[in-house]
Amino acid sequence: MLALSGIRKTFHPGTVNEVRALRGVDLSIEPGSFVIVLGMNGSGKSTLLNAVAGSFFVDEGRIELAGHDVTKWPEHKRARLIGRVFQNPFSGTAPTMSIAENFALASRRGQSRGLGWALSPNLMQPLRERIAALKMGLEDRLDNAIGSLSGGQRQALTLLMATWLKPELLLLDEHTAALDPKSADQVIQLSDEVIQRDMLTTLMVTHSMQQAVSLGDRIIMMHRGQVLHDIRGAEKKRLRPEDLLDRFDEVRRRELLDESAAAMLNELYI
Amino acid sequence: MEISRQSSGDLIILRLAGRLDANWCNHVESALSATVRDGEHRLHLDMSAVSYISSAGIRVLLACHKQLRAINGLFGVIRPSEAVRSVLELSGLQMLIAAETAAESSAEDNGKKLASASAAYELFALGAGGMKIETVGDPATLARGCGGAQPTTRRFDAAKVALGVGALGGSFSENAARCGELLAVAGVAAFQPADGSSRPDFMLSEGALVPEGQLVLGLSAQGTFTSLLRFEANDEDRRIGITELMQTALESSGANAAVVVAVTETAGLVGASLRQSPASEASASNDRFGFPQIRDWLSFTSERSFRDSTSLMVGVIAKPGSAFDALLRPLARGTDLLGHLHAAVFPYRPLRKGRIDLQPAVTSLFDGQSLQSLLHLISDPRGFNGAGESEFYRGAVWIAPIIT
Repeated sequence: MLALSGIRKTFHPGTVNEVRALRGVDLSIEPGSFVIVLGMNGSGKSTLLNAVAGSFFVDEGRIELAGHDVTKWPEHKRARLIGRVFQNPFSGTAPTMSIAENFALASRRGQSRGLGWALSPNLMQPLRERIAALKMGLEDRLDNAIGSLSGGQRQALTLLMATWLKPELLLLDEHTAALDPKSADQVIQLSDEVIQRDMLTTLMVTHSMQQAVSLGDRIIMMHRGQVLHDIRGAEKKRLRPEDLLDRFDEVRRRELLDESAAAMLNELYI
Repeated sequence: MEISRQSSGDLIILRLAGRLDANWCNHVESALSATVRDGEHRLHLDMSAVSYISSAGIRVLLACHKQLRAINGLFGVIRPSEAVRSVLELSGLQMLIAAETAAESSAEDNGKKLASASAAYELFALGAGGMKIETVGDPATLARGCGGAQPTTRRFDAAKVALGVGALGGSFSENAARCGELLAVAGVAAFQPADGSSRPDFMLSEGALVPEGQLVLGLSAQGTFTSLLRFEANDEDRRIGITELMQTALESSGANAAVVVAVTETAGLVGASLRQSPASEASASNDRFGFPQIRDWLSFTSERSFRDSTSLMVGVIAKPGSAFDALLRPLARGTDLLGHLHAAVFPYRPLRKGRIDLQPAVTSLFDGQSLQSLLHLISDPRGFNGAGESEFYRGAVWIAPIIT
């Protein structure tokens, strides 16, 4: 479904701000797989998602999505295949437009929008049902501007919009990190339901060990722009939050083992 | 719920005031376990001002009663209010109510008291004996690779003490790729597989089963322990460093070299463990421990880890000039004490006071699959940048002088 090979990206090359954000990422994701992406700040998780979405072109490597080589496709062209939800609830929706109008746009993503009635009855009926299923009381407020809603409500709607057309790939970039704990739980539960129901191939970035353990069928742990651990199958099923913390601890220990520690260990370790 | 604390002799009295219900029982539970962690094993609970106790509260009392009984401590409710007395009596738990005056702690056989600036020691003689020691492998092979040497499979029975790099299981061909830090004592053997698994594995002698495995490199000893050293850090420092503890242990034995096994309530450990098996043939490099490739080979704690745990330590300590110097390293700058020590780490549990037996003290640690980690202890001498040395609150050290 998604195949990345030898992806490299350096921001601001040759300057003092040079950041080697991706240092050779190879990753192959099967259709219907729900992959959690973990890593410390600056490990390249979000950059990886942005590289797939086409927010920038990669320096090296090849990105294949749903049978297309999309390496040179611009972001808007890839958007036909990809649904995205961002961390910031204010991204991803048009705040001054109503809920219904936002969905009218989402329902024509990647198609020519033309001059016909956007809010057709064909859209309104399923829209009302799906929004009622959120149990947030929003089905009676379809004409309200999205900007008037809470972060949790907006994030739930953004998720519905991003998955309305059953994208080939769903990218979730810490999409519950800015929400209060209760809203975050609701949005996570909704995400899991939608992903399971439509069997969406998903990449989800999170900082929550609990989410990483209880969701998805595979965990990719990023470190310094590379995939450090790839946990799947039975290994993923037996994983507990403590195991993941151990692995993070291990990464930190590795970084702390500097030249002076190495010299000391050479002297004292047998 | 208000909790106040006072001591009378070696008895601690916690006075509770309020309702001991589900809402407050965790608060009381942490106060009880904090008291036990401080090394207080004789506890009375004054419940004269407790107006209500629910089953949640009873469970907390029972758990503490059970824990302290297991380590020969004392737990009882004194001056129960009418409400508390009737609940405890109706539920058949009168045994939780203590006599008004506590029995003095029974004067068991007392050891010889030793004291230092930072800890109190008590030394018990266990009889004549000592251990014979054998060195296994060549330390240089760690960094270079073992070159296909085939260690024999050995049995870690109750009379053996071993530490080094190795693996458990019958066949070396299967184990070569997972050899890591290993220790064995009292018929128990544990090792940290260096194959990426995060948990150490272990084998206990049970019935006719005796743990088996291979030692690629290390020390193996056999014989009997001659003394038991109990220690408790004093109130000001609250903890004692491994160097002082080992120095005292060696001095108390009067020997130049000794095998030591310790079960300790631990303040923190500093150490390293292998990430890859030195016995696997995968690596072509001759300098595995050079920088930065050492990061792929060794995991170092870099700071004191495993705070407030209980650990089982197995090691050999000696003054310079022993036949196995090649397998020992200085314990600290400025001392001539050498050592090689491994530690297995468990969640905290209190250790019974006084004279205790090695076998039950060791095997009970392995109940409930709670072995967390196993590492080679290192005292990091690098001043401000260093992690320092391992430290302990209190514990027991069994000592066997090495005989030839």
